Amino acid sequence: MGRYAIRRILQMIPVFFGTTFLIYALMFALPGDPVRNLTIGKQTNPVYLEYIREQFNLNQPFIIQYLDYLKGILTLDFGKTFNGTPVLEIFQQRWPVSVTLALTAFGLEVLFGIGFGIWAALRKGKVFDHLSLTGTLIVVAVPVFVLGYVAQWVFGVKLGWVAPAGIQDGWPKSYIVPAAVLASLSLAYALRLTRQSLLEAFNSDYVRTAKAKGLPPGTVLRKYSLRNSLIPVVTFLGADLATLMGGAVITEGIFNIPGIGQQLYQSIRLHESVVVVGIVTVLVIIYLFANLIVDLLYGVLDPRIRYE
Amino acid sequence: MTPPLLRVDDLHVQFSTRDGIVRAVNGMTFDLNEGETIAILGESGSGKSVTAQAIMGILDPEVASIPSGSITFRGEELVGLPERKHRKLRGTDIAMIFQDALSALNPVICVGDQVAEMFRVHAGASRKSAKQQAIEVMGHVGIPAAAQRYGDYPHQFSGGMRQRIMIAMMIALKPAVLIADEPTTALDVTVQAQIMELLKELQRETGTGLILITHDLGVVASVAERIVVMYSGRVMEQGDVDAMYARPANPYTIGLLDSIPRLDARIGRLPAIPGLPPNLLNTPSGCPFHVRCTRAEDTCRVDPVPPLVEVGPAHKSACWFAEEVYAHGK
Repeated sequence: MGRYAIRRILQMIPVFFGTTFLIYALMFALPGDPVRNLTIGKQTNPVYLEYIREQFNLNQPFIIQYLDYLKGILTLDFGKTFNGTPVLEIFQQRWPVSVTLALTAFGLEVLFGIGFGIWAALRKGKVFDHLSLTGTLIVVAVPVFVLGYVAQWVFGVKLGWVAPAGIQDGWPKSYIVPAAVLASLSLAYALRLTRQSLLEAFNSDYVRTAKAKGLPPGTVLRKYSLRNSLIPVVTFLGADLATLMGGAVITEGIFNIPGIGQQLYQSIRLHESVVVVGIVTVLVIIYLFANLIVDLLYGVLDPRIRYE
Repeated sequence: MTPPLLRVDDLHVQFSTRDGIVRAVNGMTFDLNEGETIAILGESGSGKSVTAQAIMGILDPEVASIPSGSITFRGEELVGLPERKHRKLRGTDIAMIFQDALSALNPVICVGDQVAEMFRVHAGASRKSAKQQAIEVMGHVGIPAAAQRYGDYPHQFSGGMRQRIMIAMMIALKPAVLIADEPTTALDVTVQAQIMELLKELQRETGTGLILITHDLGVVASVAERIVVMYSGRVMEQGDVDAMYARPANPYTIGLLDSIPRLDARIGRLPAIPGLPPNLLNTPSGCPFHVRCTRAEDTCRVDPVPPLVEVGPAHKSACWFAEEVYAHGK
């Protein structure tokens, strides 16, 4: 398993170069002049524009710009934004916010997705089961931004339980509603997956054996039904954690949370290649590691999986 | 007179499904004594496994119900017994071996722990002593190097070895009644013989009453003392193996026996009973077998269902012509 993990980590190196190259190329290919964008509607000295282009290497051909950027990264210099802020500093401000949001969302997803999923399976065909199925269907069907604005209006404006936007109240007060919105879709999937796979386990031969062994119902549920049915759920959740980290652009926008998603959106608009590439690369790495952890976890949960 | 170890008396089991009520078992009756082996014989869907699950008390209460009949274990009524009490009997006094050990064993728990669980849950053994005892039982059922294989998982075993694990688990606490639901169906012929031999041996040691559910008539002849032939949830015939094989008293049993290939006769194409067992949602009136029976007459096609009548010592048959079929010999 150790060798497997090392090989997987080594495989990440080409992926790292591939993504940085691809994203850089895409940013380069965006129409419009980033420097001119900065100064729209203002009288600016062309010499100053030229100076900025010079400073940010924008006059160089693409491949030189890219290699220059790579050289910077290897010395842990992620570059600067057009207004002079080091990208590393942006990371230090923004990542903790997004990670907090994502982890809160993930916690809700695990707790309620699995918890309600189990409950629904145990009460199959009863009121709670039907409620959960209808509820999740609505969540899946309604776009996140609709859900987000509704939640903001209900909890932030009408009820006034939390501030409608911003993170000035800290964790958990400022994070709980956006996290719930962010988690909602995955939570719905996790709930349905848990329920479905648990119901399958209930009808399995090994659960019948467990009953024939005279084991108490709690043991049958924990060691037989759940232990087997949670394998696909854990796989789903693991992969989803990475998605939550990067998928918060809309949620962070609605609730005005200064996280990485919002930064990404702004930087794409400003053509700040260095910021975009940095963020996307980190997201890719997070995604790769999350997948690796899921794969390793899979082997721990299911002894039938062997690593070659 | 002491009651038999296990008595099933006029047991009815039904399932409510979307399409209606399925009457899976209709008046199952038999006694099992200590150290005895009885075989329940029948085609798929004849109610064999449902009877076994009713005895175990593991029918799904959501859909299955027992409208009438009784199951008594050492005189204690099991039908309607509270689940808590019934559970205490399972695995300790009454145990059951299932057909396909690959799907019947938990794939994510090592086999040793699955055996040891019996000692931990029912006998309150410590982790260490349960492990010790589990290794002992595993060795006893013929798992080579049991101690080394304790931590292996079901998928790492061959079919025969998996079935041995299953047996080890179920005989761990020396149950008084052991139900084996087609224990060898999923196995190679050579392994089948080994597993049956093992079951017989264990039975001799502990005096367990064995209920063997099968459709393999060869297995029945070699291990069982008595046979109950089921069809469409009813008992068609029951009696001692030798008596029944020599002189069956029911056209259905004759049909089953005729369909066994024999070493001592060249008969060309093997005779089979034509048709299929009836749909349990909509059973025919009268004798359930009349549709396929060569002997059937008008009386067979209308209710009531023929009752079980005694044709010989401890030999009963449910057929209007039982005496005649019996007298006719085979």
